[in-house]
Amino acid sequence: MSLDSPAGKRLRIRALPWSVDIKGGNREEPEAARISDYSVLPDDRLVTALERRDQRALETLYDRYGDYVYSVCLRMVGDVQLAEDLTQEVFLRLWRRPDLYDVRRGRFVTWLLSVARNRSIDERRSRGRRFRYETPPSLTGEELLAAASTADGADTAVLSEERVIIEKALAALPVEQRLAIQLAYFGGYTQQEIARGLHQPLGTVKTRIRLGLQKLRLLLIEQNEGERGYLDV
Amino acid sequence: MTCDDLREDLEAFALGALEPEQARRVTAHVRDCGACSQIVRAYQVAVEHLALSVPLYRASPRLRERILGGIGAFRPPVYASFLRQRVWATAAAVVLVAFAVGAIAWAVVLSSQVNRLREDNRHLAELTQLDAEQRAAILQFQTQLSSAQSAQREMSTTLEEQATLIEIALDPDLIPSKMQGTQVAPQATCSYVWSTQQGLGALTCKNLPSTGFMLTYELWATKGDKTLAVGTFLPRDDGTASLLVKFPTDAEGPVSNLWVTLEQQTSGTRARPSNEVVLFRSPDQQAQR
Repeated sequence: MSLDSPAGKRLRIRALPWSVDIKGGNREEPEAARISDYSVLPDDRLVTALERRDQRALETLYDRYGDYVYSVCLRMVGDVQLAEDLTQEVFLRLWRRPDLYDVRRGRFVTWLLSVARNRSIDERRSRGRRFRYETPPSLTGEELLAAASTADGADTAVLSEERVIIEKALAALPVEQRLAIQLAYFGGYTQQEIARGLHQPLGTVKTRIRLGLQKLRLLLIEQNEGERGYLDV
Repeated sequence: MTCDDLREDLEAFALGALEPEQARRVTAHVRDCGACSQIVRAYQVAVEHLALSVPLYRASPRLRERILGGIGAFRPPVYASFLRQRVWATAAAVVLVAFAVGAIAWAVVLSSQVNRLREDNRHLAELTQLDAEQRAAILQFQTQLSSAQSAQREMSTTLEEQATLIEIALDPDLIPSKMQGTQVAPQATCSYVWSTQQGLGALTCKNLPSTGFMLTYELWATKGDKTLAVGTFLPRDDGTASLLVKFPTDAEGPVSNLWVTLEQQTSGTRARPSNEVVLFRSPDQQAQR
């Protein structure tokens, strides 16, 4: 094959995980390498860059959402070291298997936080944690930070608005419904476990979860419409 | 199973709150039922946003180093440049000598380069991991030290509180009251004593259930014509609790009623009690001071 032929002009080497195109002596770089500021890229493009083993893409995603993943893990396991280990696991899993995120299932950040939550629940169960009412981890005030100060980028500013929306919606729920939902979501407890732990009838807990989620969903839709549609409810 | 059989479980399924057997039944049904699947998906979207309600904490900078160090530091653009030079040199050799001999020589050179670079990469990852492990061990020690200091401070507070309780108990004119639990805490009981000598009261309880997330017990009293929030407390691991009681100086009149409610933790003072009564003073003691 002559290098001057149309086919020869494009010699692709696949000896390594990434490929290099040679075209008449000019080098074609991967698309992400032409962009100098990764912080302006949307999440789905960064995930696509991960499939090309682009380390800067992972750095950007970590800077954008690392504190959120860590906070979810810490909230659920109540241990700083364990939360750090779980956060590391989540991001390394993302690095190794970016294909696990399917854009049709929803936004990347909600998928990522679901992974963190599910992994935290598995960890709690594997350690045989008995049903205890949750207490928030006792950390100093300095370690609490406002969402706006975590990272740069338009996406994080939107996330701040979403936090306000979800917090308002939760605050509007009756305390019993909010408690049941939070125990199920953050504690990974079933309805039966919640009923036993709160010394309440199973039917009562079931009703609270049903009504609470129905109301929560409606509140999110209402507030989302009023807040320029940040959520994808 | 039909949609009607499972309709009441769909919200809990979206939340992941069903028992395993129930969850399996709903999963099997939803797989084949478009309508139920849509309902579940709609609630899952709302549930997924719950994660955004957690208090936000800043992760240690060392965690970032651990994560990014763990994926290796090999930079493709640098190696691509090196590779490009090798490809031209080897492609020229193939054209001049023979395509088969050149391809074999090219494969041998690449394989050697890749193996050496992989070795360097592994060594670098090991060094990074070792450093990360040492740092993690130091952080763990610091966390344990902080926990030990907190426990020591808590013990000092408990001893001081115990000493005050003993002083109250020694008052010969002690006025005692009993409190019993409602259906929220049927096994719970409390003893409330007032020491006129000390001008202090003490509430001691046992068999209290643990409170839920962000909830606390609060003692209320009707004194004169006012309803007062006296103080909040949390049960210990063994279900016991104690609270020292001191009324404001402007609260006059006898204490005609005492009860304990379950309240949301808040930084401010509550004006009114919730309806979640956990303990109340026994009816035969309502008339006493």
